[in-house]
Amino acid sequence: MKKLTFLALISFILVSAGTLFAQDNMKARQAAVSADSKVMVVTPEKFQAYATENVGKEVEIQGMVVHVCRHGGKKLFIIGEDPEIRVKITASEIVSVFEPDLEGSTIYVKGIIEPIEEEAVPEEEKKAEDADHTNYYHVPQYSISCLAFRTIEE
Amino acid sequence: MKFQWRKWFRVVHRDFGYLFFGLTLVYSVSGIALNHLDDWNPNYIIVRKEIALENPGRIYPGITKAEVRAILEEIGENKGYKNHYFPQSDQLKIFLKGGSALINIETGNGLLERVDRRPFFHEMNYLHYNPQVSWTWISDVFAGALIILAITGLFLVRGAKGITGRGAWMTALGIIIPLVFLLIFFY
Repeated sequence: MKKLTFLALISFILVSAGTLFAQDNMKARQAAVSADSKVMVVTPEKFQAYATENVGKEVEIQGMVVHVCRHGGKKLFIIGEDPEIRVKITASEIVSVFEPDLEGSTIYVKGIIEPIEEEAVPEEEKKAEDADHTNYYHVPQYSISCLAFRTIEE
Repeated sequence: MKFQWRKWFRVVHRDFGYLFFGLTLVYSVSGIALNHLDDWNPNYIIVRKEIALENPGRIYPGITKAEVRAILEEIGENKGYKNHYFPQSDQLKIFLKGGSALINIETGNGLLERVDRRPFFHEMNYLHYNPQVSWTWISDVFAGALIILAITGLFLVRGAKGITGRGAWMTALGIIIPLVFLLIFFY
């Protein structure tokens, strides 16, 4: 009985700690989104040009989600007025995954500009129906590591 | 009184084994699933269906939401419209709740894609990818517990089947396998 109580206590502590951390994290994320900071707001069309001089800096951007990675939800792409220009948003330690439900929604993103990195097309994304992956998503480009995001329009 | 370290190793090994049973399953099941991404998508069940639209000439760049909804009704997807756009001049992409449709506006042919979360595996993979900073702490604790389990496990049994006998050979084999792999593929 004592041992069972001991195990139950440890489990309770772990779950409580997890819940507390999660709540803190959520609050921090919400604060980050709503904070009235002096972060540069760019449009998707102007992002690549802006990024060349501002790697590592914070940026805010808004656009419609046109693709969410199906294999792990680690990245998504947004567009503004011009559908040919897509901006890559990557998951981070704070926002670790994106759900495909976001596709078609307009979102606001706050994040850090990441440098251009060569990216190989994974085997599982070389199928004909994934042509966009080769033509858009794995093309070397500046991207944004997402610190926070919120849906503006479903 | 002499410290009974073997007894404590047993207690720790036993209770950690119970305590981390669930996490071991989470990481091992999702680990196997993620090892085989080329063969399947453990996160989502994606169903693609070819569709053919009659009279595609009615699709034009400024098409309204009501007109898109009417098209969806024709292909049996009258619920769940979210948004639409033209990724290329000859393509209309319609976003639906739980999927999308991509239609060639010249031919009327297209592809309807439905995306559903794969039960169980989606949740396991979500945890495997460290979804929150707090979960990283939990997974660190788990990793530490595995080290303790491994060390205490070496000293559970005495005698010929213990670490001074059969256990030594088994342990050595477990170390040699990754070393051989490193020698062949890494160095």
